[in-house]
Amino acid sequence: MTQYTLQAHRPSNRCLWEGRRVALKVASGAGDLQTCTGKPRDSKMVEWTDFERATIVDIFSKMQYEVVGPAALARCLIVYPWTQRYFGNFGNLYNAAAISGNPMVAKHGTTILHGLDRAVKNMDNIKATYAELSVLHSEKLHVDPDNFKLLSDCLTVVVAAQLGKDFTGEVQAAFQKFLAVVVSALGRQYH
Amino acid sequence: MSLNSKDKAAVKALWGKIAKSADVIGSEALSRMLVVYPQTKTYFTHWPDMSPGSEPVKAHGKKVMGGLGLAVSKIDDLTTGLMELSEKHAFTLRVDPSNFKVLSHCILVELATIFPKEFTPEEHLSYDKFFAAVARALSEKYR
Repeated sequence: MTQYTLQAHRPSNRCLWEGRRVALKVASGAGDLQTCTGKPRDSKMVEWTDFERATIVDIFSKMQYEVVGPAALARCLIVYPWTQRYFGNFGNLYNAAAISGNPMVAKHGTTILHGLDRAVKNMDNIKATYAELSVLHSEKLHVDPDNFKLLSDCLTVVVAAQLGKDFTGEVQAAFQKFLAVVVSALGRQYH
Repeated sequence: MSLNSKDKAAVKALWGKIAKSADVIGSEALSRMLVVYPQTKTYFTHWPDMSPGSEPVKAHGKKVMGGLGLAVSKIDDLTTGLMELSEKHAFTLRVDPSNFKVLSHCILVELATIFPKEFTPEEHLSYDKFFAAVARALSEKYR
């Protein structure tokens, strides 16, 4: 977890990082940290257990990218049709069959999934890994970051269908945690 | 985003299959929720055992699926059909409505693992809408 720290002996209520006066939330108990609206001190944000690391690596090493990627993106465009707004030049998206059979959707789905590879290879620094992609999605693609969660839910469903019984609660928790970190990193550079 | 005739047909079509394994699906989905979203355990601290597949979890999963079966039968007017359950959730159970989404997601994932072929994107769409409609009906009496 990020830690916001405030030195108790500072006389003023100036925020440590931004040098401006901020309303400070008073700590509710011993050991709690006061917060301000400054940037977090730690750059290492996420702790992964051995099980979580192994699960993520395992899922992606066995993943059929050309099946799962297209299926996840198609499912997202079908279940949450407003996400089609970003794919105006993809041709025929008029119904579920058209979406599922659309080659541009398939190609893009595969691209997205391979984009997740970067996170799998850099699990300890996903935030920095996706900084550029975050700027791209914000400045160029103008994607509402809420949509990342929608796609990630569809990816979860597709992977669940692939793994069946092996997609236990623990595996799902690890997978969803991973996707949540990716989603957070992708939304980071929006302003 | 109300249910159209296509949604209702899709829900009823798959429900026939779901009903046959309702108890297992309910138990598994609930177990999944308790593991993936540990904050939901706060509602069940009165159970002697909250572990996946335990007796209280199985019994409660069966109850939840029973409620969903009722919802399927009252799909044309969920607000009226689920009035009593809404009052129960509002005044007795007082489950935060955000948890309806969480349990719905776990049921969808469970359906995907058990019916990978039948849980097509169209079925997923209709069930997502159905669970949202059920959640709305259950929240009706909250305030």
